[in-house]
Amino acid sequence: MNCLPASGFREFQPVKTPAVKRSTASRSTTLHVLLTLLICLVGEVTWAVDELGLDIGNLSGPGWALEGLALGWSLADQRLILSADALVLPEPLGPVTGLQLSCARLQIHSDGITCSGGRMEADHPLLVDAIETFSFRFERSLGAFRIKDMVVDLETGLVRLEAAGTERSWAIDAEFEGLDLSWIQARLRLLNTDIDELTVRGRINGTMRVERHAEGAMTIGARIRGRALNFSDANGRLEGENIDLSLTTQASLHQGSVDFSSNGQWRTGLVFADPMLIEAVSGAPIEFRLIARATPEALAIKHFYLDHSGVGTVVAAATAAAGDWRRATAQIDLEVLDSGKAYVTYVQPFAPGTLLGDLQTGGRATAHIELVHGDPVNLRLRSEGAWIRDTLQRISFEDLSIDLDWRRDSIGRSRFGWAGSQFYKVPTGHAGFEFETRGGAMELTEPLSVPLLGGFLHLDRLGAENFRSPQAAWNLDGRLSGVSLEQLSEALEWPVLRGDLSGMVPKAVYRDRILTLGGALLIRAFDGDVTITDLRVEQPLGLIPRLTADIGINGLDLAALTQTYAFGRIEGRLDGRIRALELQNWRPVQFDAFLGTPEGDRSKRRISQRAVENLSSIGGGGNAAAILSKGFIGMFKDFGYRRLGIGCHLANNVCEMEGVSAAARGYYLVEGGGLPRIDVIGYERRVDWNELVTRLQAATRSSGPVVE
Amino acid sequence: METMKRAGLMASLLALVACVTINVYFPAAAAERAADRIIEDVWGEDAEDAPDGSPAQSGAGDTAYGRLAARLFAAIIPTADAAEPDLNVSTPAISQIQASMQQRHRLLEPMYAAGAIGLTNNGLLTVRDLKALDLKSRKQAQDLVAQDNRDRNGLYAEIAKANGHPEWQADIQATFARRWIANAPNGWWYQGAGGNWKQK
Repeated sequence: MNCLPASGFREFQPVKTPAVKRSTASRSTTLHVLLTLLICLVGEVTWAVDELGLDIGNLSGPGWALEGLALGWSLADQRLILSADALVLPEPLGPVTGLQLSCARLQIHSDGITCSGGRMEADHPLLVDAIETFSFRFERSLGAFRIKDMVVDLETGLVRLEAAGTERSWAIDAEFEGLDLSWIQARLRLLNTDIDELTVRGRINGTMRVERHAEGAMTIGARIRGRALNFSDANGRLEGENIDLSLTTQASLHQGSVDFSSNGQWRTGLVFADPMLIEAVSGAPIEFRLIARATPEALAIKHFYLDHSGVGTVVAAATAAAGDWRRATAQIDLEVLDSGKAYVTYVQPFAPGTLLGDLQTGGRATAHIELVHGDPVNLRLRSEGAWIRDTLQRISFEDLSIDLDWRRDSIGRSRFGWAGSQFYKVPTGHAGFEFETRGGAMELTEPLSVPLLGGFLHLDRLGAENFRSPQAAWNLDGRLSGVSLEQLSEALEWPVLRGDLSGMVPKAVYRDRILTLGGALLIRAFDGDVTITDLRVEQPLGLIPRLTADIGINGLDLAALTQTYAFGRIEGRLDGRIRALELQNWRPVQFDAFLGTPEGDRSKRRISQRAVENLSSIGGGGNAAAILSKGFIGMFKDFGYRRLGIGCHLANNVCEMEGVSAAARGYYLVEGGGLPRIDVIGYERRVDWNELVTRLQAATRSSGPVVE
Repeated sequence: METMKRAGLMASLLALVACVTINVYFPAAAAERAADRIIEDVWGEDAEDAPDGSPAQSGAGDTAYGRLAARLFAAIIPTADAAEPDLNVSTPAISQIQASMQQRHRLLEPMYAAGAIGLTNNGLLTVRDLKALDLKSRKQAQDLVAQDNRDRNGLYAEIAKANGHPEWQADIQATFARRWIANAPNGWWYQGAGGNWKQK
């Protein structure tokens, strides 16, 4: 074989040098060519030179190219130098320029070379200065190389490199210590990579192995341990503080598919990942494992496990067509150890400003969710002893027991119960019910009785249609029995009413956040009837609930109504109407009301002194008490009356008052009958509504002894 | 013939005049007064006297005397705007929303001052610079902004309803959008008509 110059010698100055044993070159691999040339050169040259050089030209392989490759021998320091103008690597790595590899001690033997005291110089953002001391060995017959003890000092940390293998199969091992992420990032920025979005700070230790297998597969593995890491993006939507974590990751690439596995432990630190704020505190780490396979067609998460200490765990598996996560098929199992923390971290941030975002909750729960092509087909939820409270005090459940089994395509039987609950200020007692679901339909399996204010709300029917869609409609038929008006009025902070309430709740429908009644709500109270028609509640759990209704009152027994009433005893009957009633946030804003003695009433009609006093104060009368307690009138505890009545037309916070009939400059609230005759006349036509309520409350809460 | 023409013309004029449409126009000045009252209530002492657009204070100097004089002047000689009846803003719904916003404002105030949140040009709030807040406050800011926007939307709808014109909601919202910005103290950020952020 002729080993004379391929491209020509440079700086040719013949000097006598000892002959070296001749060797033959092999062809094929680029590495081979280089090394053979080197061996030829050393073996053939018989002249003495200061420096010998051989221009080889360009070499390239898949993904890289060496330009201006040259080989030289420096006589001054007895080093063999392999240099290249540029090593062109794929983006974003870009070119490495001024590459120079040299060797202090070179042994050349029949089957290859061994280089120790190797030295490398190169100019690239990721490389600094020179890399001292490494050894290199090449065995020609096996085509195998080995690089050892390469230490790269990156100013801010050390990287130790080793590599071994053949052209077809090789491995590079790296070990790094105290590597400064911000330094790496600064260097990467020089490559014009698009990583400005995230700024990282902190140091990492770890190892990394890149392996190419003979059949063409690549494996990349890394173990990283980071302390006091910080990262942030440009707009503050993703930011981490003081993160301490360890991460083990392995990825195998083969024929377009990637097998990925990773597990990690996040020990301490705070991360804001808009809109979530997640904190790992000392002793309560967040651990995860992930095994996944991605092909050009699909992504399969074979196993995902997340354990947030003290909060809960998630175990999931999923498959989806590439880029189509919304139609994933998945199985997810959740175990919630502390639903309060889980809710605050993982649920509430996604629903601010809604009822779902305003809750507080506690307790444990487990759930199993199955999705097929993005559509839920099965949901199991179990919880014991959990509680949910709305921070705006609209609704709450205590000691919840839930056993939900919902299936899209078949019947599921579920149970829901609570020890206590509250709707606004109205509490209910212990209750539970079973129901069947099928797809979007739900139906009670047996009637339900909910303890309510000393009585019961009986639900004969409670069902839902299309509850998974915006057109969801909930239907309810029920009855009220023995509900204490006293407890109700106290709960609603109304003037105290006494007696029991019972009646029918026919065909209630809740749809589009509006509750309507299909018929009249009939209530038996005080030996009379109260009929509520056209009842409609808009957004019962919304920002401002709005209730509208018409109320008819028929034949109420005033004696029963005022029996133990601080207002003062009145005997007789009462009819009335409250039309166009509108409550906002359960407070009246408008109505047209009149309550009075029925036409042609034949019952006994008496009114006590105290009731006269209170009625006078409501009608804006003067000091009736002083007049009544004096002289002749003071001898009578009660008086007969012909008729009484009071009306109020409420609008714009003002009550336009009226009585049973007009009087001079006023209106009769009570027209007296018999002797002594007492008339109660109101003079104020327009009374501020809040003032009227205050007067009414004062009259009904009066703590003085009731002398009848 | 000429007479007939004239008679025809007269008749059509008469028809035109007889066809009177009564339009209920949005009471812009009353809405501004209502907005200013509510803003002062919600923001408390933060709310600055904003001469621009406030008819009662047009021509007022910066001094307290000047303002007093302007108010006296307005009281003695009410302008045409002032003669427009006030909007009803005292329903339980409005009072409740107002109270809820007032309470929340204590938490929002430092976020306005830090530039983390700003007033949008449609009468709402938005988180404009998360970076101005520490991590824990970022989540809180988003919660508070969402809650306040729910209240703000509710407020505009309730004022419109309380005055018997639900269709005024958009006008009321637009009025508030201007008045929140006009009343905002120096240093707070607001969105200009084009969507760009400006600091008062």
